[in-house]
Parts: sequence; structure tokens; C-alpha cells
Amino acid sequence: MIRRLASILVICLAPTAAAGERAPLRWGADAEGGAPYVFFDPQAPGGIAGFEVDLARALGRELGRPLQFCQYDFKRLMEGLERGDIDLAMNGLEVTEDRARRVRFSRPYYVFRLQWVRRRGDTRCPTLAACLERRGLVGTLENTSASRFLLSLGARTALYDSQVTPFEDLALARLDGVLVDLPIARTLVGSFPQLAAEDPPLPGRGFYAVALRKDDKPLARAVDEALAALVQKGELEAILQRWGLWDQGQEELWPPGLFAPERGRAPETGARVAAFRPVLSLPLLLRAAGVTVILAVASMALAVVVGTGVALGRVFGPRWLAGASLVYVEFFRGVPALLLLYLLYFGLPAAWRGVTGQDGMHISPFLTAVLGLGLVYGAYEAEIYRAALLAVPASQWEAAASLGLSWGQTLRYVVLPQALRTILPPSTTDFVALFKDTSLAGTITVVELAKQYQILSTSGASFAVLVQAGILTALLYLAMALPLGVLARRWERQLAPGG
Amino acid sequence: MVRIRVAELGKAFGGRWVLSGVSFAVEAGETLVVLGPSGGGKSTLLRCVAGLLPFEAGWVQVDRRVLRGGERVCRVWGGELGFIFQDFALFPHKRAWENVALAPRVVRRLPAKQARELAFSLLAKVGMAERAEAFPRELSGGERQRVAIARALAMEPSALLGDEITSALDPERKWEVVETLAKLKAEGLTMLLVTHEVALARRLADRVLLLAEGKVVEEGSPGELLDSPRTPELQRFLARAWEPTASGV
Repeated sequence: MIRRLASILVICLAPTAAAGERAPLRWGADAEGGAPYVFFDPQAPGGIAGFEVDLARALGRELGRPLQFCQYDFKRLMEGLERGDIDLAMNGLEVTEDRARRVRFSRPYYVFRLQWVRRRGDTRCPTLAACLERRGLVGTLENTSASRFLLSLGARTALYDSQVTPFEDLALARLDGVLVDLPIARTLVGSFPQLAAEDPPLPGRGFYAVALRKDDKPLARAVDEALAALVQKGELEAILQRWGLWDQGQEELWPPGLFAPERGRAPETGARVAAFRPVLSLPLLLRAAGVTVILAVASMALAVVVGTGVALGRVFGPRWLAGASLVYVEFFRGVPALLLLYLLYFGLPAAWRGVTGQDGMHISPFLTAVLGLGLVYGAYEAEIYRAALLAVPASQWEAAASLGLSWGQTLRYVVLPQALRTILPPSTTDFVALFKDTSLAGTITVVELAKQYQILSTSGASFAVLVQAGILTALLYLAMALPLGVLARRWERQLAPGG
Repeated sequence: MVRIRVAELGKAFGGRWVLSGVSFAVEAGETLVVLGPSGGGKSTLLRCVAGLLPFEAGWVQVDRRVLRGGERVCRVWGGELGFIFQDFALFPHKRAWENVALAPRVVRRLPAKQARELAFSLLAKVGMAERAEAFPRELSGGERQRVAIARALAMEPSALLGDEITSALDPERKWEVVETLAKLKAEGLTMLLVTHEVALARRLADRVLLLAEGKVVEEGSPGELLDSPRTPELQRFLARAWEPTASGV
């Protein structure tokens, strides 16, 4: 969410290098992506730090043009280049085939590997292989080579857009392991004493490189030369050493001939690990649609139960219960569902830890989403039910009372069937709204339909394919929502007196 | 034998007494009609007797059970007193026979088949057997009120209470409902009816009681009371009451 907020504003901060004679280059990166790449650090000069910040300074010196940091949503960096918002993107961007089709990559400045992170003492998933075999849940960052690698292995995967969250979830045992780029693992595992990233990285590797506009050949050449110079002078090594990122693997960067600037295209070697084809398949969308349906139905079931209780409490309860019901409605109607999902997702385990002093509250993202959406829509339902209960004439209650029906019998046989007719149309509208709001669950790693499309849309597929997939996704939503309307109208007819 | 006894009943709304010191009795098999101008407290009185409204003073006795002022009234009589409403108050989502069968089924816990048979026989009694499958909205006002009467009888009450049961009906329908009640009266049904329609009192009442401004003003047989009113209140009421000629009710 924070990243989304940040992406609304493209903020170009002060130059990170001493001003040269020529105009600064606009360097796009997402400081929300975090350490060790680029991250906000109030103590650091310019307010940002990271090994790429140091690299940007060095590059600026070599190029004779300072690099000016522009905060840009990581997922939109390619677009940012194409739109001309930024001149170059350097933000742990892996060289992949599909990205290379859209942008021009410089020679790489870092060789990365994928690192398996596990809970200490966990015997179920000590390695990725064991985890795959036992169908464990693996967390990773969306739209990375790790996510595509896991997808190609058919692993059960939870996708995150913030790099700290998967580590938190692994510590909470919501995940069985995390697979991320080595720099992230090295940087973050230190903050979680219960996690370990000591095993050797996975075989195979990929490259981080600077992305430039396809047609910006002169700048590409200049950047390649500058990087080669930094390699030769040992400055790149010094920067990587400083951030604890230097390893034997980085020597691959050394022979400048391998990435000769005059080749002017993406390094072929980069494709070896990172070239996973964009997956844009109907089965994936259909499965996500299934998740959406189950999520919507389960949330609505909870909302109906909660709404009924709250409405009954409000209309028939003693004063304190009516008051509590009112507070419930006002609270859950007033709080954005998205915020509530975050609160539940992060707050429940934290509260558990606070109360019991130990980790390990197992509540899956899916259940969290059901809980959050159910509670919010329960408030909406309660108001509908309350209005419907009050719409049943008082003489109906009197007639039932004069016949000796108990309160419960009156409710069950007389009042609720009549209220149901009033309830159905607005409730159906609510259900359709809930249906679409299930997309919020994507923010807490539930891969429902909208999230699946979002994942596909950032996988680097061509524009035409994206539009097709978008239309397909929209049609899937419609295909699920339309029958609801038909069903509701039929119920209405059936429940109408004399119908 | 007294079926319903009301003694010194008082009812206040927001500190204002709308009924005070109301006393009367309804004998078994008798029909007592409470007449009075609108706003005189008739409907309030009937609701207090029926246990639909709490009251502050006095008591109501039905058979051997007593409800005192200040007590909670929640379903005190449990179907002992059938109630017929001005607006019928049929359950709109249930067919005519289901309206009648509901209470026997869920309160008396009769088997479904037996409850259904009971409903059909009661509907036959009010001449509605042929419309048993209809929903309330498919029935005319008179038909609805007859279904409501059958429903009120379904719990085999000691007495039937009626609140302005003909007010919402046009003249022909009034006739239909009044004749239905006349037939039930002939079979020995005890009734307490409140109305402002003098014709209904003439046709059904064994005794008439005039209620004005929350007090019983006059009581007697319909003949003596309606033809030779003694109090100015009754004279005023009768003078204002619209009474059809002998050609209709």
C-alpha cells in the first residue's frame, strides 16, 4: 500500500552527486523496495541510502552527469522509461527476456543468486527441494525471477509486494520458506533471529543491470563504459564489499569482453536463469476466479451471520446491546476494508504475541480476508436487516402474540420471511460489491482473480496480450456477478406473497 | 359464568390517563360491544385486555388467570384470547390455510396434517374453504377478515376480541363479516368487540357499553341503551354516528 501511495507521486529528490556541468540524469528507483538496494534513510545525505545509491554516485562521476533520484513504483519502472519520466532505471532489475524486449539493458553490475530462507529448527522444509516435495507454502516477491522460478516448479507460492512481509510471515509460520534474491536475504535475515539463510544459494544466477530506453543508444554506451571503468578501477567491488554483497560470483563481472559495450543488446547469459516466459494462461485465471468465488461466498456467509446478530441486537436488544451494535456498525462501516485487512493481518499475530508472549498464531491470509471482509460487510448487512425488521408492521407482531407464538417463533415464522423480501435486493447489491472487494485480499497475498491479473500484467507480456487478459478477467467477473442478479430476481419472485 | 373480568383498569400514556377505573365482565357465550367515539380509548382498552399493551392499574381476569397492572404482558394469555384486527394483520407470505394452521402447528405442536385439517375446517366455518389456497393479497377485504376470524379461532380461545373489525370494509363486506360472527355467536362463542359502528352493536351485542374519555359512561342492553340513551355523552355519540337505514347494515 505504501508503495502504491508513493507511486502516486513521482518525486525527484535532490541530486545525489555533486552537480556537474551538464543536466542531471533522472534515475528511477523505488525506495520502498528497501535495503540493500535503495531505501529511505534520514541520516544519509539526500535522505536515501543503499548500494545502488553509492553506485549511482560513482556512475554520475564517471558520466560527468549527476544521477538525480526519482521515486518511482518498482512495477512501473519499465513504463516510466517508456513514458520518459526517467532516463534510466536501476533498482535490482533482473535482466529477463521479456524486459529486454521493452528496454535496453546495460552490462550487469551485480550477479545475483536465489537464496532459500527457512525457520531455524524447522525440519519440514529445511530446503527448497524438501518444501516442494511436501507441498509447503513458499513466500517470495511478485514479478521477480524467484517468483517465476517457483511458478515454473509448480510450487505453492505466496506473492508479496513488500520485501519485509514474507520474512515476518515466515517467522510467524504462515510460510514454510522464503525464496528471494541473495542481497535481500542477507540484509533482512539479520532482523529475524529465528530465521536462517545459511545454506549455499541455489545453483544458477541472474544479473542486475541498468535499464534504459530502447532508442537511447548514446546513453547506453556511456553507462556501459562507466560501469566497465568502475569494474576496472575496483570501485564496484568496493561498493559491494561495503554492503556485504561481494562474493566469488561477482568475478564474472570482471572480464569486460563478455559484456562488450559495442554489442549493444541484452547479455545472452542473463537469460539463463532469469528467462521465464510470461505465463498468461486461462487455467491460472480460472483458478483465481475460483478463489474469488469461495472468498466472496465465505465472507458473505460470515457477513450474514454477523449482520443478523447485530441487527437483532440493535432492534430488540437491551440498551447496552443496542449501543454496542451501533458502535459496531459505525466502526466497521467507517473503516476502509483495505486498512482493516492490514490491521487483522499484522495486528492479530502481534496481539497474540503481546498476550501470550509467543509466536505462532496460525491464521491464513485467506481466513484473514474472510474475517476482514465479513466484518465490514456484516455492518452493511446489519443496517439492511434493521431497516427490513422495522418495515414489518407492528400488527404482525401483535397478531403472532395473540396467537401465543413466542418471540423466536414470531421472528422465524412471521417476521423474518417478510423481512427477507425487503432484504434481498439490497443484499444482492452488497454481495456483488463484496465480490469485487475480494480484490483487496490480493494485498495480503491471497491470489484471487484481480491479483492474478495484476501478477500477469507485470510479467512483461505484450500490450495486446495484456488487453486480452484484462478483457478476459473482466468477463470472468461479469460471468460470476450476472447469475447473482438473476438468482436474486428469482428469489424475490418466489418470496413475494402469491408468487 | 364470567369469561373475562376487567376491574378498575387504568392506563396512562406519558403521564396522561387514557383509561381510568374501567370495570366490566363478559359472561360465557355473551357478546359485549364497547361503543364510543374515536379517541375514547376503546382500542387501547382492548389491547390491554388482550395482553398486547401493559397497563398501570387494576387487573384483568380470563378464566382463572389474572393479569395485574404493572406486570409484563408478554404473551400472557398464550392464545386464550383470539384477536381480530382492523387491518386484518394476516401473514402476507402465507396462504389462507397456512395463516390459520401456523399457531396450532408451532404453538400447540399439532402434526402438520392435523393442523391443516383444523385450518380447513375453520375456514369452512367462516365460508372460506374454497379460497384456502389463496394468499391474503388475492382476497377481498371481507374475505381477509373472515380468514382472520378463522385464524383467531385456531387456538380454541375462551373468547374472541375484535378491534373495529368492519371499519376497513365497504358496506357489503361489513355484512359478510358481521353475519359470519353472528353465526359463531349462535354457536356459543364469547366475544368482546369494540367499534364505533352502532349497526354492528345492534346486530351482535347482548350488552353494550359506552366508553368516552377513558371511562365507562353507560352500560345496558342494546335495546334500552341505543333507543333511549340517558347520558348526554351517549346522546351526542348516537347523534353523530352514521347509522344506515333498515335496508342494510
